[in-house]
Amino acid sequence: MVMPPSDQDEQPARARRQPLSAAGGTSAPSESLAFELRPEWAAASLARERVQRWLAALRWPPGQNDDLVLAVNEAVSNSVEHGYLVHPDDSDVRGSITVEARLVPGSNHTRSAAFTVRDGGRWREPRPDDPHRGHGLHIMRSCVSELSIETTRVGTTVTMISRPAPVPPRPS
Amino acid sequence: MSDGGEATVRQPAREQLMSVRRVDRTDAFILHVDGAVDGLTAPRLRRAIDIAFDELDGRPLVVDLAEVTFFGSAGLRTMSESADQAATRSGFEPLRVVVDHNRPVVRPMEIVGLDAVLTLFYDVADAIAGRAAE
Repeated sequence: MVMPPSDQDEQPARARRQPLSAAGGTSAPSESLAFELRPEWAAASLARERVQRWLAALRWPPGQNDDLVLAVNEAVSNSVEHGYLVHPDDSDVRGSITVEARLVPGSNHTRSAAFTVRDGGRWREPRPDDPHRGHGLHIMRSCVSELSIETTRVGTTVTMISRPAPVPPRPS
Repeated sequence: MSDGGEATVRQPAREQLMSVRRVDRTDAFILHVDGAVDGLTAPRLRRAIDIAFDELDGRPLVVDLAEVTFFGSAGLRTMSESADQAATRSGFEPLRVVVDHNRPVVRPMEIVGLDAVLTLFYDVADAIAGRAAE
């Protein structure tokens, strides 16, 4: 199945926003999400907000939503801190971090969410003497069913596939 | 509720994401943390804890995380390093950390095993009295 272009979430969302009581009504939540962030320390909070809202609109189970927000936070933070080596007071580091998410249909009325976090920085393996760096990877691994990290000369791509979540029943 | 996409503030101020309120009592020094502890805000929590360490004068330091809404690896690192610091300085009591059953904090602590290392409490009164959570 080919996913639609992932820019739907970038449309002026307010124009088609519905009151909460009409959620699940005429405007279906977007099946994909894509946005780009500057490599700065505020990037992770922006990513959290977008991912949290996307999953909530898809009626993702709240506990799993929290786990995925946490995993994306760690991936984005990793790009900022280690990929681009952004100092906490820097705000004009060049480069970008791209976050994409899409739904993957599963069996038995389930679905998963697949996330990619891509940067143009350099991947650095955690050093054995830096246990805290390992925390981020440990968190990502624990919060998703599949984590892969691809590093090339031009950057790092982290792909995470969520645990299957039940497809919510259609509102009657 | 958060607003629609295009209305998102592009650059959240650190102060909006997390606040730290300090309460100086005769029997304890308390830091109440509210909001998100992430790579952007954790250094400010770290500074607040460092300042508190200098003013403890033998009292226990209670860090109240019950109102924290997000806690990432930067928060874990801050608490772990601060607890290490309290444990290795003479005349310091172990750091007392209030988490209640606050999932955004408890979940990441459990993932990395920090819940077994830190001294955790259900509420501030228990923390001051030294009644640890199970």
